[in-house]
Amino acid sequence: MKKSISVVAIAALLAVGTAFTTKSQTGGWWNVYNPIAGKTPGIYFGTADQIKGIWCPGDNNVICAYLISNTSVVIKKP
Amino acid sequence: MKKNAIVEVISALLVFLFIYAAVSKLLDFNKFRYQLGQSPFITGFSGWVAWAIPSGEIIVAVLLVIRRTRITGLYLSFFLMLLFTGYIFIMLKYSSYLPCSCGGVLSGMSWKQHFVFNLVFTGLSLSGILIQNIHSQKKQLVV
Repeated sequence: MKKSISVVAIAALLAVGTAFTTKSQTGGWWNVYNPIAGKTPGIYFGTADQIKGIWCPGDNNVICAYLISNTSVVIKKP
Repeated sequence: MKKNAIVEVISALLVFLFIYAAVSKLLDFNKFRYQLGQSPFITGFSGWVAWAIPSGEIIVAVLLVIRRTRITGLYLSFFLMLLFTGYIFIMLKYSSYLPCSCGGVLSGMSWKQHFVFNLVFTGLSLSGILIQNIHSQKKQLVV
């Protein structure tokens, strides 16, 4: 019984750790080459959330920006 | 025993999802509240919804962690996932503007991907309820 409680509890602890890690990992330089209309393309610094909110808000269909240090990390726009 | 293990895994997955989503929202609370305010269906009461969603997710996760309250947690998980899935369905069908107010890596998903993701977790929580109930009934018959 103790064992079964701990499996679910470990999942809870892992989730807290993952949430903090994913938040702190995303800050960096982004090549925003295809922003929404009215925004200027360029290299910008910030977290994924900040870049998404300013240059690529809305639904995620077309690539809007990529992280320069890891080009497979992308942000999409409508 | 095997069925019990399946319920454990389902509960662990749901707990991970709810805690991850709740903590991500709370870490970026202002953004989350702002995005909720942009939603055409929640604008008027986004203030308390912004607190209610992560609080609800944490309460359900705690219920799932405690073995005695796990079945209640599974029922509430199913209800919560059904609510989120219904919301996405309505947004996809009737809203012209789709602001994403999801937390963490979930915000990288498109609304359609998010809809399918939620459907899978709704199904998982329903499976958990059914397996747990069958398991409990069998246990009662044995006793």
